[in-house]
Formats: sequence, structure tokens, C-alpha cells
Amino acid sequence: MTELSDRDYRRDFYRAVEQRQATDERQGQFYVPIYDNPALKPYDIVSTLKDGIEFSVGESVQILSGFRGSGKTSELMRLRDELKRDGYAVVFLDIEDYFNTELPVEGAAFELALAAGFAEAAQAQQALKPDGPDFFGRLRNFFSRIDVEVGAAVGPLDIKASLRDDESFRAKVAAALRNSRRKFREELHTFFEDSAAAINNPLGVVFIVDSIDHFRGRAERFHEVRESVEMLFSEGAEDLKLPRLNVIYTVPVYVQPALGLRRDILNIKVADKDGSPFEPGMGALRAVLAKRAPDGDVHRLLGPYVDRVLNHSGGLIRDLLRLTSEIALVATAIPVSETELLRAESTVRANMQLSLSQEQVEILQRVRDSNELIPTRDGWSDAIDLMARGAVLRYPNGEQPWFGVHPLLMPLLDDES
Amino acid sequence: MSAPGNARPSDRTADIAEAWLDLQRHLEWTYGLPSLPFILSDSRTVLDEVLVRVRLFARQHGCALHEIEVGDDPGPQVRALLPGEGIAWLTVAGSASEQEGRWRRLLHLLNELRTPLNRDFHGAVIIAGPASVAALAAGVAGDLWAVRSFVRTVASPALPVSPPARLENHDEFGDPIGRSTSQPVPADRRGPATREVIDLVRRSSREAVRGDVAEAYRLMERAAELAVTDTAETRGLVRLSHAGLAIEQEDWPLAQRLLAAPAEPDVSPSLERPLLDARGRLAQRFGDWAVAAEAYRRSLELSREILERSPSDGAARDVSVSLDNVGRVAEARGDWAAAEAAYAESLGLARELRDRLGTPESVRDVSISLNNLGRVAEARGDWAAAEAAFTEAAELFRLVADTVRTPVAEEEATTAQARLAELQERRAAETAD
Repeated sequence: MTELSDRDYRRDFYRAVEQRQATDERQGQFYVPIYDNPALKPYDIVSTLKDGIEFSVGESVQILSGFRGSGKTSELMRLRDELKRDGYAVVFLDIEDYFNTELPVEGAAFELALAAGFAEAAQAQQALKPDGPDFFGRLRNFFSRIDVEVGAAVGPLDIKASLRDDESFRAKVAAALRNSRRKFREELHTFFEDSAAAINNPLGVVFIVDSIDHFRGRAERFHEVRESVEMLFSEGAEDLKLPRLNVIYTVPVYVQPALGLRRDILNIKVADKDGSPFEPGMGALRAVLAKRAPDGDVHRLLGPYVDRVLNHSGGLIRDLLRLTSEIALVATAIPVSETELLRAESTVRANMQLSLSQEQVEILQRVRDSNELIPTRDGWSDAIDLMARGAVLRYPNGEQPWFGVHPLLMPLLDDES
Repeated sequence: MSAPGNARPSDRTADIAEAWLDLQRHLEWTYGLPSLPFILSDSRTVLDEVLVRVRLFARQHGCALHEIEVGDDPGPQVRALLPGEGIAWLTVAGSASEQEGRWRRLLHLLNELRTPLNRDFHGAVIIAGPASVAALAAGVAGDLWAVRSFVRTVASPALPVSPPARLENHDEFGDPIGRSTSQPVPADRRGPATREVIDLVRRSSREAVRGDVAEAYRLMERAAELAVTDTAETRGLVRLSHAGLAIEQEDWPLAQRLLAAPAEPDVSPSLERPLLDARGRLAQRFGDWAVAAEAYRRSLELSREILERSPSDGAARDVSVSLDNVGRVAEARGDWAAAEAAYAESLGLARELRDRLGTPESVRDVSISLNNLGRVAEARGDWAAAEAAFTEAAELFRLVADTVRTPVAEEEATTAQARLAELQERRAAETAD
């Protein structure tokens, strides 16, 4: 086999680390089963969620939280694939397709979106079966029974547009719920029961509802958004137990659901609290990178700095890929020189610290000093924002996770001190 | 609320050449794959200059370029990209007061469409806007921001901006910077192995073009071995070509090693000059302005000597190009007086050549010199001089475009007109203030 030239090696490595969207089908070729490592196995969320489905009779609800870049969607995709392989019917819904997640969510609209999203995904999965069940027909019947007019040609696009942009439509839906909550819930559950029966899978149907955790809102509306989501999972909790379905909801970390225990996806720990390297985590990240490197050769690009790059990712796979792609792009020769490595780090850091407020820097300093994140009521918005950005990370540590600051941001805190 | 994150440089600030180098590499390496680079600058002129390069890239690679400038409702234009392929250049139209709302809406939409774009648009979607777009995207389109490819913020016009270069150095490191010299080896500087060495260099060049880089290097190294016992001129020729190959392959250490040493004493000025220019360009690439300045200064000296000894239009044009190089380094160092002097002399020579030759190329050279002068005047705040220079440049670029009718010429004319309009707008705004 001819060895790749340096330029071709960088090109191939760059292409592999540049693709970062978890929903991208091409990602499958790069998947690394990091939780096969016995030291990381206890944190394998897919295994836990599967247990929750397999050991439930008929229906179940599981709640999952995890921030952008933590690998949540990748793990959900893995769960979906494993369940399908085992014979389950799996319906996946990205709720963000239906809502502007900067605004508060209304319970009735949310439940309606669940039904529309389910119908869309289920219909799409059997697009090639003309004699299969008519999920849109069932959806139309549901709307009709709760007295919400949507016209004859109801489809997911109409519902999406109406829920996002049509206030009068949302008002009609809200009125339907207000007029008779019991009837609304019964009809919603009838829709799901009937749809699940139509799918007729002997093992059962799993409904994964992703991106509820994206409901955050900007600082000025944060509390309003937060309260609306909390309301969904407290007052509306009974509605969200869908008959004959195993449902998984991904929620923001601030939600303490009435439906059961919330499971959190944690970051891959690269170091212990005292800063000493955590080898199982480093090994996992090394494997992730090697899977994308031409011939598995990471050292050809990173030379003696492999562990430094792994550590400076903070255990966030997306940041590991970003840092590596930046290095592959700017390196004038490989292995990369220290000067160019520092420059790449500086670029990634600069983009992480965009618009950080003084208040957020102070939160970061407290996290650095205490390994805890205990925001005041007014500080919740900032704290959630920091976690969403990957500036604050959560690491496993036996029973009690601890918080850390992204390693790339540590120099900023030193400056501020 | 203070914003310490914003108190620092928001990003690694690049000049146009550097940003383009990264973007070009990105486009080549991710060809046909979805990606999301951000090219940001507070100068419309800078963004236009990057766009011109993107247009050329698209044309050279035969891929579609979708230039989209959105207004209040970005939905229809952005959704029309799906499904699709090629390169999309997305920016926002309107005055400064309209822009923030429009950018906010565009970023919201892209945030929402990030998965369909990733799935159904096969190519790069370049977000081109003011520097503030980065913070806005991080704030209001977090999920989009999380899957960005990279961000380059390019210096505003008050800082040095690479000018559209002359035909001879139209590419930062492309031909003919180092691959060869158009001058044949003079008869009195040839040795017994010169012919064979030149043959090897030519074959190396062909292999590089065909993509067999290993073979290209092997042939070049063989040429270097043969040249050891030949004349200084032959060795110099191999050095220049070898450095050109290294630069093409972005093997910077090798290129630097080959170009670091001064030319041998017996090398002709016509070979020493391109060696110096290559060294200057390489130093410029790495921001080593002192080395670049010295290389270009010496190159200018040589080009003047050549012109004096053997006057010709070509030699005069070489002096003009050397002056531009000297001016560019002075501009980068903020030495406006030196930059202006060099560019003004270059313009004088270019005008003489234009009057004598009257070719589109000679007219274009005048336009480029005028642009250079206009940029320096703009940086110094001499709006009237800048406007006069940009006006004449735009007229001449238009003349060339209408004469040669090539897409490149048309783009240059359009860009020159846009640059002039932007200056006039800024001038009007300042007057109003």
C-alpha cells in the first residue's frame, strides 16, 4: 500500500474530523464503542435505556438530559439502531422542527406536535407500503375529535408551520385543551394507542423525542421558558405517558420530572478533580480520533501533542474534532509545531469565549474552585448557557458527578483572577 | 453587564490571503461534503475580495456557486438551496441598522435548517458577514454554531488588504513564483549537465501536474544532484523550481530551506530576481515582514539594473511589479508614506506602458496600481484621493471587462465598482455625522 503524502493525509484526516453533525449518516463509519471499556461501562446510557425498555411491560417513559456536544444525539442514534436491530419499531422525532425553542412552550401545542411528529416519522418509514396504515388519516381524526380545524390536506409541514407561526392556530389548540383536559388527553392517547396498534410490532414501539433540552430561551425570557418546560413535565406529566409506547424524552437539566428519574449523559472524563489524567477516558478519546485518522495514525499530525489535544477537548468529542480539524487546516508541516498548535487552540478558545459576560466568568471561577455548580435563581440562565456552550462540563465520579471548566478556558480565568 | 470575552480579540484575525488559503484548502478538502465556514469582516470590500476568489474557485472546479443576499425574509432564498450542491455564499443586504435584525432571522433559520442543509446540500455554505455575526450566532443559533466548520475574521481595510495582484503573481504561491523562470539559461552560464537538468525539471513539473508528487520530487532531487557539478545558474534554476514544488505541496520547511540562502555570486540577475521574489512571498506568508522587505528591496534593485541595462517593456513591467511588492510590505507594516511612494512610481510606469502598448493587460495594470494607491489613501483618511483613485480604477476595470468579455474581468469590474460605492457610502455617512 502506498503511503499517503502529507497533504493527502491531512486532507483525509480533515474530511473525517470536519463532519460533526451527529445526525449525519456518514458518522456511522466513525462510531467507536467507547463504553465497551469496563471502566466506562457503568456510564453507558444506551445500555441503561435499553434495560428500561426491555424490562417494562407494554409502555414506559424515560427521561434523558445532556448538552449539545455531549454525545447525546449520537447515543440516541445508537440506541435507535440497536433497538431496530433487536426488532423494535423506533420512531424518532426532533421536536425543534416544530418550535422556536427561544419561546415558552405551550402544553397543548407540545402534545399536538408529538402526535404530528409521530405521524410524520411513522408515515415516512412505510413510504413504500401503499397499503400500510394511514397515520395522517389518524392524525386528521384526532384533530377533528378535539375540534381543531386544520383543513383536509393536513400534513406535517402544515402543522409545523402552524405551530411555529400561526398564533390563532396555537390559540385554538390551547382552547381545546382548556375546554376539556380529560377529553384532550383521551383523544391524544387514542391516537397513539391506535397508531401503535397499526404498527403492530410484537416487541413494541419506541418513540424517541429529542431536543426538548433546546428550550432555553435568551436571558430575558429564560425563566418563562424554563417554567413552561417544567410545567410540561409536572402538570402535564400524565399526558406524556403514551399508551403502548416506550417513550424517551430528552429534557433540559433544570427539569426534575414527575415521570421518573432523569438520567444525565456526562462528559467523558479526561482528568480527575486533581488534574491527574484519567486513562480510560483518554483511551476512549484516543480511539475516537484514531478511527478518523488515515491508517489510524494520529501521531503523524499531532506528534508529541496527542494527549494534550485529548485533554484540551475537555472530553467533548465535538471539541476534540474541532481542535483537530483546526490543527489539520493551519499546520504548515506535520507533525504540527508547538507554535501552530497554540495558534489552533487560541482560535478555538476565542470562539468559545465569545460574548462571555463577567457574571459567567465568575460562575466559571467558582466551578473551577469548587467543582460544583450551584447557581442563584438569577444565575440559572447564565449557568445553563455555560453548560450549553460546553464551558462547564459534567464528569462521572462514582455516584455523584462533578463539574469542571473546559480546559481551553482555564487561561481566561487565570487572567481574570 | 461587561463582556470580558469580547474585550479580547474575538478570533484569530487573518489577512485576506491567509483567510483565503484556509478557505480554499477547506473547499478543496471537503469538496461535495456539507460544511459551514464563517468568513467575517467589517469591510464589505474585504468580503467582496474573498467572494471574487470563491467565484474563481467555483469556476475552476466546475461547481455551482449560489450567491444569496437576503433581506427581511430569508426563508424562500435559503430553502431554494435544498436539495442542491456546490458552494453557497450567504450574506445579508441592507443598511447597518437593518442588518442586525436580518442577521438574527437568517441565523435562526439556518439553525432550524442545519440538519436538512447537512443532509441535502452537498457543499459548503459560507456565512459571510460582519465580525459581530460570530457572537450573534453563538448566542441565538447555538446549535448551528456548534457545528460550524471554522471562523476567520479578516482585517478591515484600515489594515493591510491584499490587492488584486498582477497576472504574474496572481496566486500567492502558484506559477510562476518558483516553478521556473521564463528566461532561458544564458549560453555563457550553461554547463555540460544543464540540458539534462532542465529536462528533469520539466519532467518533474509534468509529474506534479499529473498528481504524482512522489515522482515529481524524485526527479527534482535527481536534477539537484546533477546540478551540483554544473554551473551556478543551473543550480539556481533547480533551487527555484524545487522551492516552487515544495510550495505547491505546502512543504514549508523545505521551501524555507531552499530559499533561505542568498543566491550564488555567479547567478544572473534575471534568475536572482525570481529567487528573491519567492523568498519575499514566503516570508510574507509567515508574516516575516523584515525578510520580505529586504528580499523585495533587493529584487527591485535588480529589476532597475536590468531595465537600465536592457530597456524593454517587459523589464519596465518587472520594475512596476517589484514596486508593488515593496509597497505591499510597507503597507502591511503601516508605513503609508513608503507604500504610497512605491505605488505611485509603479502607477507612473504602468501608465507609460499603457500609453505605449494599449493592451487590456496594460490597462488592467494601471487599474491595479490605482487601487493600491486608493487603498493607502483610504487608510490615511484622505477620502478625496481615495475616491479619485477608485473611480478611475473602476472605469478602467470596466473598460477591460467590456473589451475582453471574460468572467474574471467582469468580476473585477464589479468588485471595483462595489469598492467605490462602499467608499462613497462611508464618506457620505461621515459627512452626515
